[in-house]
Amino acid sequence: MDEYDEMFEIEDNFDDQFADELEVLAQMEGESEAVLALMSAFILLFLCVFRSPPAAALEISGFAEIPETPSRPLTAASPSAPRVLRRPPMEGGYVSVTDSSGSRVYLRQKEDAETQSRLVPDSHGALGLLTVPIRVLKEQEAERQVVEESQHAENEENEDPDDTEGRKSRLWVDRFSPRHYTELLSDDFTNRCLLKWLKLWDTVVFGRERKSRPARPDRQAANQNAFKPNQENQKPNRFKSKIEMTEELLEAELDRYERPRFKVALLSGPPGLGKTTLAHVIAKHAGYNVVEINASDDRSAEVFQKRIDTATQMKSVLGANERPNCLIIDEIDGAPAAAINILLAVLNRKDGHGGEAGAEAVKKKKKESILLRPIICICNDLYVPALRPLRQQAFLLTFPQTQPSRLTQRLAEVGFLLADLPAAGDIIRSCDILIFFLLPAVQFLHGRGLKQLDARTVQSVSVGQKDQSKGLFHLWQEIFQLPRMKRKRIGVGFEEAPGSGSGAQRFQHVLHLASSSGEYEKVSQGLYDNYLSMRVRDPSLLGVCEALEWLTFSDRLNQVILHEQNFSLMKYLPFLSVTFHFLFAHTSVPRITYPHSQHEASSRLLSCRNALSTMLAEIPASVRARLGHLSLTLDILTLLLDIICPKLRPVNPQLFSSREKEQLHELIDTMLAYNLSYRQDRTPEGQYIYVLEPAGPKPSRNHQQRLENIVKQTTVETWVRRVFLHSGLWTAPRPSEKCAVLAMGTAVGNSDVWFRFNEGMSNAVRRNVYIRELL
Amino acid sequence: MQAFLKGATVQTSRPQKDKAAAGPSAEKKAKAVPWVEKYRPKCVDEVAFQEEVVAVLKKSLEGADLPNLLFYGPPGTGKTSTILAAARELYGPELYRQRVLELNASDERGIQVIREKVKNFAHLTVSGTRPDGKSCPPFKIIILDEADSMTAPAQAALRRTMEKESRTTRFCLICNYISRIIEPLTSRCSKFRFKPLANQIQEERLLEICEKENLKYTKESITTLVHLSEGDLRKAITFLQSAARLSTDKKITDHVIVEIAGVIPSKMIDNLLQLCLKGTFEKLEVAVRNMVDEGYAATQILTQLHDSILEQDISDKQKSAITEKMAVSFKTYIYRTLYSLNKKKIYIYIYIPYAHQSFFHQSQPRPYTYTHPKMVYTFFHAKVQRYH
Amino acid sequence: MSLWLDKYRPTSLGKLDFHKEQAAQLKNLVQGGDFPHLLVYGPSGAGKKTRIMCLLRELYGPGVEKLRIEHQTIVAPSKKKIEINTIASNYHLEVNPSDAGNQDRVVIQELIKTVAQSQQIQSSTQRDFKVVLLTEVDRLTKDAQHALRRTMEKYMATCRIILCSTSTSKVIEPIRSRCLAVRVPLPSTEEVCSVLTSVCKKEGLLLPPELAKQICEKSGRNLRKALLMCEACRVQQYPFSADQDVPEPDWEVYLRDTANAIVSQQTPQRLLEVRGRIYELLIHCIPPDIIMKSLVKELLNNCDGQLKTEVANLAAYYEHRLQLGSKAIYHLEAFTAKFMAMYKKFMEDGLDAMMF
Repeated sequence: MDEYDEMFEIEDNFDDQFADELEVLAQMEGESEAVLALMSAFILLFLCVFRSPPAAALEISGFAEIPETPSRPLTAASPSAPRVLRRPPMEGGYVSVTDSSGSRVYLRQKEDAETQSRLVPDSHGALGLLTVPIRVLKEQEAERQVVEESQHAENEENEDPDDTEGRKSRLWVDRFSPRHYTELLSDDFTNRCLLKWLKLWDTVVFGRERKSRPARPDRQAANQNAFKPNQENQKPNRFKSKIEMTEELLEAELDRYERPRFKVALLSGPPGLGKTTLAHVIAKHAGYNVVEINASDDRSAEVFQKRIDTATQMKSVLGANERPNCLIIDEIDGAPAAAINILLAVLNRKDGHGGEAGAEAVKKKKKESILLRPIICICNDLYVPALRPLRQQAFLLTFPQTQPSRLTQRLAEVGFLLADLPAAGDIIRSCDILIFFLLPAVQFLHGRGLKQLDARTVQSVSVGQKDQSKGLFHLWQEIFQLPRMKRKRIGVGFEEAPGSGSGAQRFQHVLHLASSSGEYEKVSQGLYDNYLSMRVRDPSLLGVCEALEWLTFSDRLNQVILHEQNFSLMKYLPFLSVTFHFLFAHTSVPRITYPHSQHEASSRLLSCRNALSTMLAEIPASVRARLGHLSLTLDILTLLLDIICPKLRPVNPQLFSSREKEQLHELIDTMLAYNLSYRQDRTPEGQYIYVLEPAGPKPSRNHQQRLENIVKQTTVETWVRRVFLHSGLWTAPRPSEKCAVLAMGTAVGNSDVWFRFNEGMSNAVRRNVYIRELL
Repeated sequence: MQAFLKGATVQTSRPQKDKAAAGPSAEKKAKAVPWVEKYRPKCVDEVAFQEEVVAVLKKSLEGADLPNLLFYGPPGTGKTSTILAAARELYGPELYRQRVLELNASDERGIQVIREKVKNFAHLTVSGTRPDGKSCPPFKIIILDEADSMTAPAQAALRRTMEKESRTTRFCLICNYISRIIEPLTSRCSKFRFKPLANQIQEERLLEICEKENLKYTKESITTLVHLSEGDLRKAITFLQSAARLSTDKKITDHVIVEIAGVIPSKMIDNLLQLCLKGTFEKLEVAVRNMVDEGYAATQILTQLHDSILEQDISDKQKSAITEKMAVSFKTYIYRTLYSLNKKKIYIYIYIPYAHQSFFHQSQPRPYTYTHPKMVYTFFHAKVQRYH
Repeated sequence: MSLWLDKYRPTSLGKLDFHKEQAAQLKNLVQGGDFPHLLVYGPSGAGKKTRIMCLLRELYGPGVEKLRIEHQTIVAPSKKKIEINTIASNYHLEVNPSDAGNQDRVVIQELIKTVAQSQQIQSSTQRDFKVVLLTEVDRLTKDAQHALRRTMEKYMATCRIILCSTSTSKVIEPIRSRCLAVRVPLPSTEEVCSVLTSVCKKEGLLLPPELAKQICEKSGRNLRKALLMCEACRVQQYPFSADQDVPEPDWEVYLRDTANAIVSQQTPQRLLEVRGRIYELLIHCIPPDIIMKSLVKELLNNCDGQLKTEVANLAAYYEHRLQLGSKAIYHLEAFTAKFMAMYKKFMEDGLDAMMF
């Protein structure tokens, strides 16, 4: 009984011990409050269990959820067997508990199932406080689910006998991929948007086929009856409830063929989020027969054209599923530009063009050649150059990351016996929430005979990590965002996740990411475009200076690399990212925009250059000889525009004084000499405006506008007429017909005289006069 | 490629033909030939002031073997002239065309050319006798002029060729900056540095030309010319010819020379320097702007400023600090500035306010600044020494 | 040809308005018959091109003014085709090799070789050489300049080269030493004024001397600018008044506003705005080094003595970096940021000093 006494004594000391502990903790600086709270909760819990502490203590801790537990009569716990031990008990289950100071005690497992079940709902499962009951519960739950799953599987087998033999060998990825809309893991909103878009096609795809439904007059109505009565109508009401930006896009009117405005949906997002699955499920859900083209198919232009045509214009006649096709083009970012052009051509095809290609295929369609079937494109990288034209015409849907909670749930549904929720969290985190990586990882573990997962196993396996190249956005995000502090779990000491922790680790992490991305140019542009909008306190601008110093350095480095072909210097480029990380990283989530500025600037610069060179190209040689590119941009052009807008009285040019006429003459000469002319443009409002051509490079003030003002001052007619008359009177023998361009009176023709009906103040003489009579 | 004729023993009054490589045989109108070509040395003996090279070449003329050569040195010291004269003497006019391949920066000299043209030329073996029976060395010469403008890959491609063909071919590389020739090449050649010509020799040579061309000149003009050309005889001759053209009937004065050379009147430089020492920033700004408006080249301003600072009555420490700044703001000339720094043994440091301000305005874009490691090294070396 | 600039451009050496002594020397040169390669340099707007054209006319007579534009295609060794526009008369050919960018070496090598090798058949023309006029030589790459070196010597017999550049700093020494350098300084204030007055007189206008002076100041003695400004003034208001506004190139005004924006506030947000403005300027073909220079000039006007020194130093540093790098915007922004930091510190120090 010595042993017994000893143990009892321990129990006596117990709360003193922990009280000390509490005090120490309270004194400790730098310890996060969360940990403190956790600890106190933990200790209090034990106090509750063993001592039935006064209610006051509970209130202090603020854990009001616990109240039930302590009311349980303590006597129920058998006094003969102390549950807190210094060393593991000889027999029976036990749980080890380590406090933050490292002292460890062992709790004997209780046999009393009833107590357990009562304890569980009260504890905080997520905090991992009461591992025992949670685990048991989980087991039960998991078992239940396995049973369900197997039943489900059996059902499936019954439905789908083909599957049976492949059953065991199938990848879990396939086995557990969602089959119904409700099973989709991805973001609800994305799912809905895509479905909604697909439904927009109903009018044209199903509308006429099934005479039952009249053509819907307006879009709103169509939306509300988005589901046909004969289809599974799961949640019709939810569509109306949320009005989002993207949905507004969807509200756009149908075009004249009753197709939605965007004929293609473009899903984008990192791999493994379930884009393809979503597309398939939704297409099936909306009543389509899915035709998929992916990277494994030949995607040369001709084949692609053929496949698109067959898919969009034919209809499967065999078998029972007489459903219209929905084309899904997977991995479109890998397709050649030619293929994408074909796709675009198909999209923009008007009736009457390319008619014969589709003629044989489609029945019951009046306009046969136009695209009448929805196309869903899927890509990882939205910004592949080849996709640029498509982006503008497509309904863009970006995939957000799947919620870890949903994933965990799914993992559980999948029937895997998860040791505990935190472990699941870990595996999910380490797989970066990519379903594709997750399931194989789990399957792999399963295959090794593990029935239960715990965090350590997951860590040690580290499947699916690293080497996948992450998107640029991901990289920028990592650079500009401080890693979130991961909660430390008590007793489970494993290495920290990459990216968190001390400076050195962050350094390595960012460096690794940056150097594996490879696209240094893009990366640094992204950094440059975004760093100024980061929320970093930098009143003296030193950080900004530092950053720019690095940018210029990397620019210089690049120059050297390219000029001297010295690629060994490449390895210094990623350090730019590290600097930016340490200078600008912030805990809040950065809003990162794709760096367009440089590309935009260079393309605009190019267009300016082109405008200049077209201008130069036509300038007569005698002037040209005196004209440098530089002097033109710097000196001449800006002032030239001042010179060519003289103030002219807004009157009929015939009333001009000889001096004014002279001036006008000079103006025209100047414009001719510098190859400038006015192009008549018609604004949507039907007004004529005169646009200076070619548009010279103009910062700040808009000369065009000033010019327009002048033109407005004189009225449009007098302008045309003046210029015209002018060219007629003084420059008639001029060989170059640029005057005609200037005069712009195409309506008036090239004759010197024209006739205007009802002109003049008096109607006294009114007679039809033909130009030929005048000539 | 200036060449210098030794003493008065020159018999080159007849107009000489251009180098064989030069152009489609032009009408030989005497007036079209620039004096630089006209007075180019015709044999190795005529080359002045470069004794070592001349000695080596003479040996080989007498039948000794010729190593691969690398000539370097400032422009206008006779590098090209020397090798051309030597080649002509070696082979005589007939064989010259077959035996000598001259490539310079105006020819395509990418790696492709090195691989094909040079290799093919080098492959051919030649006999050791001339058609006229005289013996001549049994190898060909490939002259790579302006070799410092060859790309590094092209130079690298040359390495092996050089060794492999050593039986039949000798290479002669000519460059201004030896540091721009890759190490493996320099180690395969015997190097000769061409010194800038001494003033006296230049003067002699110029006077001689003046005499031949019947020029009227003032004594000062020749002195100025020699001073301005800084050992570059080609420059001196060109200036002389230009001055002669501009003042057809009049005497050549030093004023004309100064204008042609684009040199800034020393008054302006002094003014600038005084402003640097005492004036305000605004005044300095105006002065600098004015100089730029006058069309003077920034490099020229800096060079002259440098020279006059060295003559200023300030402590060596100050001079060193200023020249260092200049070197920085004027990287192209870093080598040169350092050179003079070394000469004057000034490695001390005091800061003079404003002394460097003018550099910004003068620092017109210089696309050709290069920071060759060796130069940078020299620069730092100098800096380190300063603290000793 | 109705801009005053073109209308009243002198066409012969005798009619040049300023640097008459030089004009006389050039005349001598032509008459001497022994015509060297020329390197004409001077700031923009000083009349280099005019002078060259006058010289050519002196050489070949009025036939040289019959110009035509030719489009030439040159095939580089890399099989890349280079298109370049040339302006040519029967006697000369004008090329701007820097149009070809990095391939300018090929242009120099090929174009000049072909011109030089095709000798003038007509012996009736008094000259036995053609002239190749290369503009913007200072923008040539080093490769191209080296290529030019030997070409100049080789084809001396059939061809003369006139180089036109703003500064000799960027022309390599070997080329300079092969040419007769002709410096064309900007006309003095008085000369600009007298040119303006005489042009106005020919137009039948009366130009008040004050306005002439003002125009001259605003144009920075750049005659081209001055004439254009004068004409713009004329368009704006006639009769002239002595104190009327002289229109300035709008990019300069824009840059001045930018400089003011920098001085008025120093925050990352402002930096972002400035970035936008600099982009705007770059887009409109304003070369980065000119942006840098003008920006510094404006900024210098805005700060005090002590700071000026530092700003100039800073500007020199960043301009150098600008030349070395390829992304002008980084360097310009780096300079702006550094200036902001410096200015802010300076102002704060000043405030502290005042308070204590």
